[in-house]
Amino acid sequence: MKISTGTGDRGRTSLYSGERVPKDHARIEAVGALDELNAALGALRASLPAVAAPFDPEIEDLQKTLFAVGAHAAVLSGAEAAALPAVDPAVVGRLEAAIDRLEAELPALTGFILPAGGPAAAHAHLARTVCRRAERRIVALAATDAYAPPPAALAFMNRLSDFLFVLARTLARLEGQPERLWTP
Amino acid sequence: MDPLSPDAAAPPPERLFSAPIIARRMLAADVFELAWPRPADFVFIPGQRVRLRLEGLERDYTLVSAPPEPVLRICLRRIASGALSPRLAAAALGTRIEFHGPCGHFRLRPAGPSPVVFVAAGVGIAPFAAMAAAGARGYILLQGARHAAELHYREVVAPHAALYVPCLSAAATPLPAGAFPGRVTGYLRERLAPGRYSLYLCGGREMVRDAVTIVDERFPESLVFTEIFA
Repeated sequence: MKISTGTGDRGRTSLYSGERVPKDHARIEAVGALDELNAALGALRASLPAVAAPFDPEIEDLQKTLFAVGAHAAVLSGAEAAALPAVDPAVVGRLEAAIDRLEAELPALTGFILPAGGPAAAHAHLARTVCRRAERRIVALAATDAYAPPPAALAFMNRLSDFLFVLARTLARLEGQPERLWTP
Repeated sequence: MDPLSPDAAAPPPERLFSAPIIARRMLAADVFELAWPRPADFVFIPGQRVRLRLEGLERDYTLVSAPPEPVLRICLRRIASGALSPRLAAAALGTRIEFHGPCGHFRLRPAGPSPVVFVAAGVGIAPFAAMAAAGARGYILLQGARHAAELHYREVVAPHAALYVPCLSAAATPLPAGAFPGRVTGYLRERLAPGRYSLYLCGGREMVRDAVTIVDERFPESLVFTEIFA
């Protein structure tokens, strides 16, 4: 398999459907944001301290789900999407359970938290913001194109950023970093 | 089930298989076909590849055989300076190879309103031979080679084409009937009627890159699927 094709040297690329589009096409923007999010999760995994190692397989599963979301973002029709791996709605429930589990161990929020902490917490915050951007790009597809990723994909993205927020707070604690609130 | 159908059962995850080489057929001085038994549980879609391993070396090769066949076949060019192809060219029958697969997404998509155009250069004909053997019909095929003798698998792909155009870049005149004097990219640029097509391109990087540039300029509403051979 050749990574470099040279077919995009003039600013156009092919969607999974075969359609040639400019590289700033809404679908390419969505796929690119999802790719960036997946890489951010990889950086997060690489930065996990030993005490947070149990989160690694959980985050790896999220990366795999993101590939399915990305595949749906890259097609133009439901017919094409039928051949793609489904986004399992159960993953949303698992994220909600994880959010509840982590939140139960955290102090109540009393203000806006500065996105910081140790390396792992900071990576989680960064991934959270990329996740929100990817979510916005997918929502934009739903508004303009005939096919948008399924509702489970949107719910997953929405829940994933919430999960990354509570994960960031959890990791900051595990890294021994105090939470700093924004004070106007 | 139609092996070309996207509704065909999804192939299982890639696995490692092992089999002995059972046949080698020379197609030209430097092009040959290898065959080995197809494991009963090896399922693939025409156009997909296997990653072949021998003596610690690995390369991807598109299967030229169709799924129902009891053997798997690949077509490759012997590259004198290459690592694996000279070994495969010299391997004795019975030599065991290992292979992963199937892999790749270069497969015939559901039929749409646009005419299907296959564009192959050299051994890039392999996936189209597999598709034709599995039932693809009515396509336009531009097959590129230097000489008519290098139009490998012509007997497999040409009979099922609505239009078959051998594109011969170094053939002596007079050309065979229906042949285009030049590369496949020349035909795309000069002869293919304007329109919206579903184009499948397989060959070297330069051909694919040039063909996509032509498609962007002359057939901008077309669908394009590519597979690059070394």
